[in-house]
Amino acid sequence: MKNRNRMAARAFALPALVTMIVIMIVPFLFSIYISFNDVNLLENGGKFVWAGIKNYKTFFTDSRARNSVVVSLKFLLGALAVETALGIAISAFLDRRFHFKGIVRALIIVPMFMTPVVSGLIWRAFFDPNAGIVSYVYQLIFHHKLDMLGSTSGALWALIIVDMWQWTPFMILLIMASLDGLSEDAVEAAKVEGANELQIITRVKIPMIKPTIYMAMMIRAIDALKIFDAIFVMTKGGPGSATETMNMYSYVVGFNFYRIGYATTISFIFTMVVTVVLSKLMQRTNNL
Amino acid sequence: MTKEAIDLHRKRVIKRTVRRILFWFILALILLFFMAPLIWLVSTSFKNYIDAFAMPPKIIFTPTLENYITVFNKANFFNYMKNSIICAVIPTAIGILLGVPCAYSIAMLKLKDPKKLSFFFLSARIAPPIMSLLPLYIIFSRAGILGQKLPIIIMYTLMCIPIVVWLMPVYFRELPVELREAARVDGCSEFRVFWNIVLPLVRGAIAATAIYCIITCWNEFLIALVLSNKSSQTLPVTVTSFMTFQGTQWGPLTAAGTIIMVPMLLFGFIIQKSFAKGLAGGAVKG
Repeated sequence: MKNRNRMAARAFALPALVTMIVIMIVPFLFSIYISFNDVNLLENGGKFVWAGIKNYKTFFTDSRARNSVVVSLKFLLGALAVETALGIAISAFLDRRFHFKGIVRALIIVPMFMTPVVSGLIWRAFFDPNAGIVSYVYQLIFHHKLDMLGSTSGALWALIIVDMWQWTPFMILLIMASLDGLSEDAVEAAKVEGANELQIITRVKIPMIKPTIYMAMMIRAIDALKIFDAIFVMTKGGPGSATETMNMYSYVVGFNFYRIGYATTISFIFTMVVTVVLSKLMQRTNNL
Repeated sequence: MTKEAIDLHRKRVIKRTVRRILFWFILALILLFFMAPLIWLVSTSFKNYIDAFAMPPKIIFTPTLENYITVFNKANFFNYMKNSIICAVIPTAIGILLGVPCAYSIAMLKLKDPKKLSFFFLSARIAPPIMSLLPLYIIFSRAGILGQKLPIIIMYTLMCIPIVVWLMPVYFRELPVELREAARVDGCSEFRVFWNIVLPLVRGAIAATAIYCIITCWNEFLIALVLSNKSSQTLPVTVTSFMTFQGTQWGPLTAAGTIIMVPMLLFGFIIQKSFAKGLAGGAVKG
């Protein structure tokens, strides 16, 4: 009986597992092999030439690669901090009874479902120094033009703002859902103790939904490291390489320079670090 | 009532009113921030070239359909829409077909090590797509199928399966255990229990998960950009083709953007509630 159970369990899981192994693990192993080769699709027909650890050596001496690591980290930390803080603040603000709450919530999460390429283009228009609304408002207040996407210091912040606009709603959606799911007991107890509204939300409710917040942050971290669309249409990694994340850099090396070998090395290192760190963190979050 | 009491009462009423006004004012600001891009997109798509970039923005204007006509007259726009639909629906169907039984197995059946298996799918969800894209690009080009829809469909299937396996277990765990046990005692096979009893109960969750997969594929850009050519491109790639060397054609671009986005926003409205539950549930139970 027990054996039959296990057989059935395996039979249910197997098709998905086999498919994933074929379309993920096999290419993954192949990419390890590629990373030890010089492959340039523009030279001698894209032939593989064994190069040993040359690509890895290049990576650790390549200043543009080092820059991309820093940009990725800056973007990750910036976006995560802003989105978490704003997500908690807005959810706390909305954590009360009012008319049209359902509609308000549905409207706030609209950005989540908007096509990232399109929303990136919209924001590019907003940030346009001559015709954009952001620059226009800035000019009304400070009397000179604002060109965030054209400045090395501003461009990354512009991307963080776009990410914040698109994904804070995700935080809000998750946090509001778990605030709604909280039991009234603890809140009632705090009320009896004489806590005011602000104390209830910051000292009682937020600590209770910590696991959800960690989980939401984790999912955001995963996707923030992968961000591509908005960068591609807004800055293409520029100006210079001010917004060139690791993901963007390996795209450029692979599909603009066609140096597939080196591009694979970059994305391999990137993937290993990200996957190992984040999946360990995720597991720990789940065990909270 | 004494005079003091009336005063106190009046003060309270004023305070409450001020608070209420302040609340709605801040709420309006928040909504404006999150809605502004969509409002701009849709309104610009109905504006002519001169109105589109008037500053301050024109709120009252004569709407025009010329941008939409330009988009629909663009060679192959409907073909690209068909590509988008195919490249979203097939991977979603495969993802559901394979992912749902797998999630069920992880959540309810006696696997030896369910944690390891869910960890595998989790890392598939974490790994950036460029990792698989580079080796598969070489494999597809050597196989001579680069530029067809099949490579895109394969890559999107790779995205959909982990999403399903990751979102679905929560809904299975919500089901009462007795339900399954009773059916097992009655001599139903595991497959019959799954097919006749469990599946009908999670239909809603499956629908929501499928819609989420469709949205993800429909909105995807990097993979489509790399793997498609002029005939197999999907709509997000088409949109960027309005950025030309002569400058960006904002009118047709916003019209195309609106066409792409409206169905996904409707889908988003439909699934928001159950989606939040799936994710938040996953947060605590994994």
